[in-house]
Amino acid sequence: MALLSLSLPRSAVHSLPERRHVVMAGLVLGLFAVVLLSLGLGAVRIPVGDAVAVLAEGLGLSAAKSVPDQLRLVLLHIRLPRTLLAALAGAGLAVSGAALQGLFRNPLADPGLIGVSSGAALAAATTIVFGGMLFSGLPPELLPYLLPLGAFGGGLIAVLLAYRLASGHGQTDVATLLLAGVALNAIAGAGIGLLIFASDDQQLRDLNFWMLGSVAGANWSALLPALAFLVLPLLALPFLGRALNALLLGETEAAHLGFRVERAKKFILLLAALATGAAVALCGVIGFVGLVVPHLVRLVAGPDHRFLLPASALLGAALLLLADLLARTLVLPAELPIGIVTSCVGGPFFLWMLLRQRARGGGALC
Amino acid sequence: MLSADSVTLHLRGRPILEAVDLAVGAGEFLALVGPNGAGKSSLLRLMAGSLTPTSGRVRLDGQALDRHDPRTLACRRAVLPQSSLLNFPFTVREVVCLGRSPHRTGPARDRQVAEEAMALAEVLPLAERRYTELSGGERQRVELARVLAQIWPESSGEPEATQTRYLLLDEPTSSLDLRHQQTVMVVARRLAARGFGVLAVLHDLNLAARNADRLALLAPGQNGHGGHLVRQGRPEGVLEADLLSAVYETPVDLLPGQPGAPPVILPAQA
Repeated sequence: MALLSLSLPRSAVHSLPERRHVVMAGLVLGLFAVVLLSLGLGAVRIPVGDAVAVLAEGLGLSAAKSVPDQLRLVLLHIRLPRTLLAALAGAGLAVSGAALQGLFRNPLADPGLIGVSSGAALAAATTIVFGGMLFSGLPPELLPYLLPLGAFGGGLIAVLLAYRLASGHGQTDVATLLLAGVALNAIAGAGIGLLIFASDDQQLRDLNFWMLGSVAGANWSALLPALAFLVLPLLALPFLGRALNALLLGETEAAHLGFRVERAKKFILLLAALATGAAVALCGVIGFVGLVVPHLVRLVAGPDHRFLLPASALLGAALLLLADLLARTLVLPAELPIGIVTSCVGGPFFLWMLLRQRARGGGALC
Repeated sequence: MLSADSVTLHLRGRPILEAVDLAVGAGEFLALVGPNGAGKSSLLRLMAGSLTPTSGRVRLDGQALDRHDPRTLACRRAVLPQSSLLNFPFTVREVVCLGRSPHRTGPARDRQVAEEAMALAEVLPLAERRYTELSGGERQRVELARVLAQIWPESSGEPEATQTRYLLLDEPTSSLDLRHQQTVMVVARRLAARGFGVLAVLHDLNLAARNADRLALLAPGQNGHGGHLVRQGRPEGVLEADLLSAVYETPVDLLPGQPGAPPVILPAQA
């Protein structure tokens, strides 16, 4: 029942979907390989066979070989939580970057650049310094939840501020968005500076990693409370892929396509703040993952969010694991903070993106 | 029937439209014409539901627009925007497939509809190109294909197949050359002939007169009043030299057209 009875060539090649299958398979395999590397490498080397044996045992399978207790301990209590944390934080930051870029219709909207990470960091730092005092009446088993909750709240306030300032009438003013990010980063920086000034030695040590970002402190007791905060956005955001695709056309157009735009926007902002907040609560401010990862995925496989969001999660996990591997092996026996590694790569990458946009004649901000 | 009943619109305290009555029915191509600032695009946005009237109602089949389920509404009403904000490198095929978002007809059917819509809008050769690399005119035709895909007739088994579908076009020919202007007009006429309701804001009076079934002429308001509808009806009833000269505030000549065609409208030589 076509309007025009045209005989269309059936040979129309759907190259993009096929390429996406290949990319997805590559990402899954790549992540798997990096996870094994991350479990095995470090001050103590754990052979892949041993690592797999311990993990299989943990899953209730009978161990094919016996593993020395020391290796088992290092694997289960140091490497495994660290690997899980780096993978989830990388995935969370990348997915929230991809979602915010879709919502703001601009590839430069990174949670770090627009101030969401700093907002979360300021709230987290406040929780570290004053949390014990303010919430002394709280049952001790709830205390580990304070940090991710606080960071989520800070990130949410920052993202709402950025959105309020930069968006109106269904359009986003990117210059305002980035300048608002500059201001939010400065305010959060000053706030954290004040907190450092006011903190005692132990708090100072705890605060130090907010400046630099690190996954070295990973342990199960800190990781488990924040897991839900990280996993929920990872699972939920891909369901907003269709809405994000439509939002790229403009908010009015998305509404004409039948999407409940205001509701979708709220979910996207909440989930992005949740993922960023949880990542910041656990490993401090790690810049540029949310900027670089979605950009790489779009370069290879296009901007369709139904693919972009899960693919960014996988690539973000793999890249942050790699960055952590570099951070802990480059200057043995010491460790570099992981935030330094990602900024060393991400900063120049950001400049390259700006140059490329200028070369296309589009100007830096559109 | 898509209808505006004595609709008034104020934006930020400024009157834009006053007491406008307008209706598009099944099988009709209605063109909104009038000078700049008469509120044509605002009226189209009211009819699309992206603006809410200050007073009065816009109804689809007797029911207020905001009482319809958004997705069901999107399956039978599409709106072509004046310009697009899209600046991410989707391929043309992907953009057109976005038009299928409200439907649950499955990927195979969606791909087929997208192909047919692209063929009709003459953008099939661009299918694998990136939207961001296209010219303004090419983008406008891709957007047309997208909104066509959105309201493409379903196979006859579907429940919505019996309901009238509507296409709203906001200056669909603004960046198109002669040939593609004609393409858009042919598409609009063909849709109307198949029972669609088509409402278009058109700047070019001659294009509107030759193609639309009915014209609605809007005039800008004066002395703090909003724009209002001066006359609507068959083209020959609306196109009168005195009326157009008054509404457009410039002398207008009507030259007799080909037999059976409406007169040609020209600004009078001073």
